[in-house]
Amino acid sequence: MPKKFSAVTSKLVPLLIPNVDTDQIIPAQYVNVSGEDALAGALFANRKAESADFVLNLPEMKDRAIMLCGANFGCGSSREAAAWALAAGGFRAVIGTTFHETFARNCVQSCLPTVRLTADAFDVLVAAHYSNPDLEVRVDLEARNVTVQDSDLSFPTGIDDFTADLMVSGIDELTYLLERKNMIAKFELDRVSL
Amino acid sequence: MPNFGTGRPKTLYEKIWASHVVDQVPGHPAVLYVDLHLVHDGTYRRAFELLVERGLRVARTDLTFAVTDHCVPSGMMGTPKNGNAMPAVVQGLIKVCNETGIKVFGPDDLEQGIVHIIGSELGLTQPGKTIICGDSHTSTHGALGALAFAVGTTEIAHGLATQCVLQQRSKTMRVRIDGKLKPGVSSKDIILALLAREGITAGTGYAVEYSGATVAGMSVDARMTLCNMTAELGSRIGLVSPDERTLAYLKGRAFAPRGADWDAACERWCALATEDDAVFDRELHVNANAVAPMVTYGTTPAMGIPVTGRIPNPDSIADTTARRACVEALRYMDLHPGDPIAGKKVSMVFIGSCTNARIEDLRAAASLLDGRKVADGTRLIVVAGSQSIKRQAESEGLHSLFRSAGATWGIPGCSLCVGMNGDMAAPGEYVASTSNRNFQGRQGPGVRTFLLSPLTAAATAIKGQIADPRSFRS
Repeated sequence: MPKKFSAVTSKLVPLLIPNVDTDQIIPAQYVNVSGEDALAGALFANRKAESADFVLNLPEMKDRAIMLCGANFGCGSSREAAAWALAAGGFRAVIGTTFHETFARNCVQSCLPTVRLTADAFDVLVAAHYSNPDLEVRVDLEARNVTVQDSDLSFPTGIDDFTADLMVSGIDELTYLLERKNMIAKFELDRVSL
Repeated sequence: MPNFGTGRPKTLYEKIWASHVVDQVPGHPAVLYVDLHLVHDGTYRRAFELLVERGLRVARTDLTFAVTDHCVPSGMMGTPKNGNAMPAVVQGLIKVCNETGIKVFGPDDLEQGIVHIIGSELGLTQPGKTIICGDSHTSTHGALGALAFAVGTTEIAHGLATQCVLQQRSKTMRVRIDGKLKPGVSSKDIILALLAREGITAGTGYAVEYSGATVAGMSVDARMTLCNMTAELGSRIGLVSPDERTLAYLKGRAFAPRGADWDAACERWCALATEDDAVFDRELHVNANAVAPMVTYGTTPAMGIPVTGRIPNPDSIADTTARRACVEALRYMDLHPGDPIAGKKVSMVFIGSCTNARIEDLRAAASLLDGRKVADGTRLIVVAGSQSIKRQAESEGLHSLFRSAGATWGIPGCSLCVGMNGDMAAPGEYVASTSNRNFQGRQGPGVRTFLLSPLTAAATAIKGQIADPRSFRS
């Protein structure tokens, strides 16, 4: 898993279905597989098996690192393996309008930004992608923007500064919490027992 | 008594939140203290590996409890080829808990069961506690007035190592439910009806509190079904303010306070209830009297209709995205617009899961199955939510009743709700299920799920097709 995020430029994988749940992203029977290869294989395993036309089965989608997602992507089960499988499958960022909260939190832990565009900006990006499916898009958390190849288009990432800084710096949340060890100990001493 | 501050009247959520913030740097998420950390066999592994990698220990073994549920086979698929050996993840959880000093309820323990059922059953779940668990249905615990929410595996490691997690404060929503439930209708139908009306993102970003006369008159078991499926509303937190029913439920439970501590706890818990004039960010209302038994036809829990209804026509949906989603759902389910949902044949009926496997759920199903038989060509699997519920049901003779009707009486666990314990249906099969999710592939690749209440499930098992439980009543 990546330990920090650096800007990524890639063509897009469009999966513009709303409400893609984490059972689809990684079916339950694969949640406890070990290793990057197994996780990558588990990514959308049922969808890939069900239809040769599924977007991740298309040869031209291989090696693309940014997914364009329908609304409420990652809803359902809180399984973090969904984020792991996307990262193992080579994804470095996902772009949509809304993501399920728990899924988005899980993605932070893998330094996989869930870029949240406004509906208007998203529509512009989708239209740009379909007019040129090989269009390259750059997600840059330091610059806090998404930019589109050969155009003036630039959109804010919709990711708060705290989260963006964590991913860029590689200082993870556990470190942030451990830095507050004394504060937590004091809280435990001070609080009235429940 | 914790000081909730002065000023405007507060909600239950605001009070619990305020008393658990360890640190709040402006612009950062809060460092929130965790009173109870529940661990299960489905999502723990990487969390313990992370602790080892970072040279960290479990901070509070006294506030951490583990149970095997997700990966425990119910026995519905027959005895595993390797005899009674439990899957590696089940054995692994027991091992790592024994090594780290965490109390674990394994498959052979009298207290074992689905994590969201045993928490309250043991009295570990209490009003005012913050509770985390690596499972989206952690919202269930809110039925007792606890602030309980799902975390991912990395956050399980945060909880184990520091007893804290980083959290953004949620907005608040109240769902007032008034009116008397009609016979044959349960809290499962209320939440399915709410989902059908409001959609699966209505609760996104909100802590959802249920109140109103119907909720006040509901058992804690029924409240748990509401809070459980709050996860399907896109919310992470379901709540019911503590009241007399909450106290009556908890009194005498294994981990509930006793004696003078009990009296003090009752006073503290009741003070947590949402105050009369507290303001919520959003208010919804449900008339329980207008709710009918519900069944889902699609692949989200919000794609539901009354059991007397017809499969909707996607052409009548104005929104392009919603229309496409409906078309895709009907393709997956192989259902046709305009057909009545009642009468759709099912090959399997599952009564179980953290949504509907408590004793009341089993009694409801049994009331309809008593003296009747499961239809030929249909299989009924009943899996009690815990060992304790299983014992209770058996003491009431419910297991004999289910077996006489032709049902399989399973070993407690998540079973067919989640395809990670070997319990699965076959591709293309229709399953009527009292669980919470009808997602594509949820009960096995290609499996088609109808969500419904225990009573509607029992009616469906008897007919071998989606059936209205009210048709069995005089």
